[in-house]
Amino acid sequence: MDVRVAGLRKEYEGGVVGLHGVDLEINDGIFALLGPNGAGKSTLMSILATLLDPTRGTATVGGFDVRTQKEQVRSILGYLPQDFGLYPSLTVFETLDYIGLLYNMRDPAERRRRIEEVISQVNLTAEASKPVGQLSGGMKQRVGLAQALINSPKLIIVDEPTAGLDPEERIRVRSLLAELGGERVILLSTHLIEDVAAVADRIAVLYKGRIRFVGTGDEMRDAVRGKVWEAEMEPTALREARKGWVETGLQRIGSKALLRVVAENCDLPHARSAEPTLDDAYIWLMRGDQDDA
Amino acid sequence: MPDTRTLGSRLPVLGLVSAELRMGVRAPGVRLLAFGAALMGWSVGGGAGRGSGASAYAAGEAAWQWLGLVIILWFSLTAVRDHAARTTAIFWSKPQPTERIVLARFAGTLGLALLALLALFIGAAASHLRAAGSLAGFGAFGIQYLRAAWVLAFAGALAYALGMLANSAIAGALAALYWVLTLAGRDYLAKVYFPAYTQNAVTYLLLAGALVCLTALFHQRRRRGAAPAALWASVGLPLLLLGFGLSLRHSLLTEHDPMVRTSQILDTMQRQTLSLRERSPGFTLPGQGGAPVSLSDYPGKVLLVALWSPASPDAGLVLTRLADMQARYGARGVQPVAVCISEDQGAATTFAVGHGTAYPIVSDWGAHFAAKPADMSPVAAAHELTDFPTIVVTDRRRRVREVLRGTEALDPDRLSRSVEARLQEEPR
Repeated sequence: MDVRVAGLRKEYEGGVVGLHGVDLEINDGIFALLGPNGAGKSTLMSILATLLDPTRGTATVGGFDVRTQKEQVRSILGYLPQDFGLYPSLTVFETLDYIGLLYNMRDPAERRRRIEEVISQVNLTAEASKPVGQLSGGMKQRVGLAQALINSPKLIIVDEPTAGLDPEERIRVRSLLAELGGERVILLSTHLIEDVAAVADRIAVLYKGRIRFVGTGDEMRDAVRGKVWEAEMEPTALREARKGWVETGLQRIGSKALLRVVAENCDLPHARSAEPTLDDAYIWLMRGDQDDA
Repeated sequence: MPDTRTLGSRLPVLGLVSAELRMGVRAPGVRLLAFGAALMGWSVGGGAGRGSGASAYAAGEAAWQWLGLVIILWFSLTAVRDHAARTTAIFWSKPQPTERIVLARFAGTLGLALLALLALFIGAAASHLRAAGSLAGFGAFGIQYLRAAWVLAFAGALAYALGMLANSAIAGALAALYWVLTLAGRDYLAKVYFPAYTQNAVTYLLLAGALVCLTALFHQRRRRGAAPAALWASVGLPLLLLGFGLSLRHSLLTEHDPMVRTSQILDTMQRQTLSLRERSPGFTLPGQGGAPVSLSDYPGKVLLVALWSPASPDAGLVLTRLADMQARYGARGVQPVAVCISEDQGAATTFAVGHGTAYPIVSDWGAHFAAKPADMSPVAAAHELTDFPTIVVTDRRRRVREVLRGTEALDPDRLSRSVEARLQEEPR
């Protein structure tokens, strides 16, 4: 199973460009799209989920064209959008039953079996008879995930699945995604680097509709290896010292401040090279001095 | 695993309809609407002596007029429900064809609307039962329920189509403007514009079907990609539109309507006059079963020709008086004939079933709403109608002997005296 995106461009009415000719090849495993708000992550996901048509370029899912073979794509797709609602009066079970019908699962017995499986998978068995309107935000998110799993999809698209969740639920959702990986593509969009670090096999960094990096987490860290610096200083010197650096962290250590920056060279007093993290790499890739034209 | 049931059938569209119904019956708004409808039915359906026909007719009028407006708003909101509930992305990324979802939502919402309508009629029937103490003529409620049902189906389809095609609840609510026009514009609009009239049922049901097909074909059309549209919608739309056009054409070419065309036969009827001791104006109009009824069908009878309007509060009472007269004097050659002056050609049937009448109730198909009763139809004009009801009492040679108008016509003693006088003059 693979997802191929070539020269994908999306222009909205009014001339706003969501994607500037994106190329990607995604294979089985968890693929994270990382980028700030407005980077084009949701646009790319909506196109792959057949909800938006691209202005130019092609995208295929399992060999099916997202523009012309929408029904075939939808049949192998599970999509959890970032901002979604469910009918509050339906119970968890009924919601999934309804979704099963939307997936054209005609056999009630088979539908029931799958519903029971996914409810168990997302750990909502005790809540199966509760109306969705009575669930907490985290539980609703898990129902959202369950509805994306009910057809045993080959491609799962999850857009910001941990946004707005408390830490416990965030870990739960993340673990679930990690469990789901295997012979399918999971396309995960997030702006939380810790999500990516925890689960992603490969990462693409998007910024203003363009791909700035594609690779593994290690490759992303390698992109800034040797460019990460830490410098300990008096807090009073901090204001002056921070000017002009791509800063990735600031810590208090006793009465001192530890400033972390990414740069080709660093002439801060007492600066020493540090082991890069995904945060360092991400912030380095997001710096505004790169050519976006 | 808790006790849960999957949605029935292997046919996805039926499962989706079941889901719509399930959601609807749980929604507090729908329950409130059903309760309000039942209360409305209760308030319009009572009244001792009115008969089931009048009670059912009043319930039907309340249903299409007021429930119709609510249904329009309801379908308008259904059309944009996904936006409000933020379910668009999840639901429309599934492989179920758009046409099937559009149809299932319409059918499900219509099912709920018909349940609310049922509540209104149950309320009306219960109120009538309490007032009348009898179940006689309850078939009239069934007739009026069906009549209101197709009106609501059309109202819903119009609002649903506008709302979905424009992707706006406000566009859907524009159907309410049409509703208000038909409520307020009876003086000015041709009868064919009124979905609530029985003679227009087929026309508007065909249009409702065409609107649903149109919505199925064009709502989120790009969502189909290169896949072909559903056969039922692509074949149904032209066929239903053709049927609608033919039905409309038939109505325009055959109706007597001062706004469109007049019938030569009815124009001839209008040229008659009502004078004491002169021959009573004649007519040939369809009876309950549709067969033509003429006064000449009753030679040698003392005729009680009652002109009445179903919209009048005394509509039920006059039919009861006529039934009483027939029971008392029928064997002695007295024959009541009731002329229902209404734009709705089905009203006479409702009253006939509701009152279980053994005398003919004919439908004046030339009726058009007017401020003065005499202007309402050629038959009304020929009888110089000033009040509802009016009973023309003839002798056995069909000469007009007395004209009882308004309360006089409803007075059983007054009516009996007049009939007795005729029978004394000519016992046989």
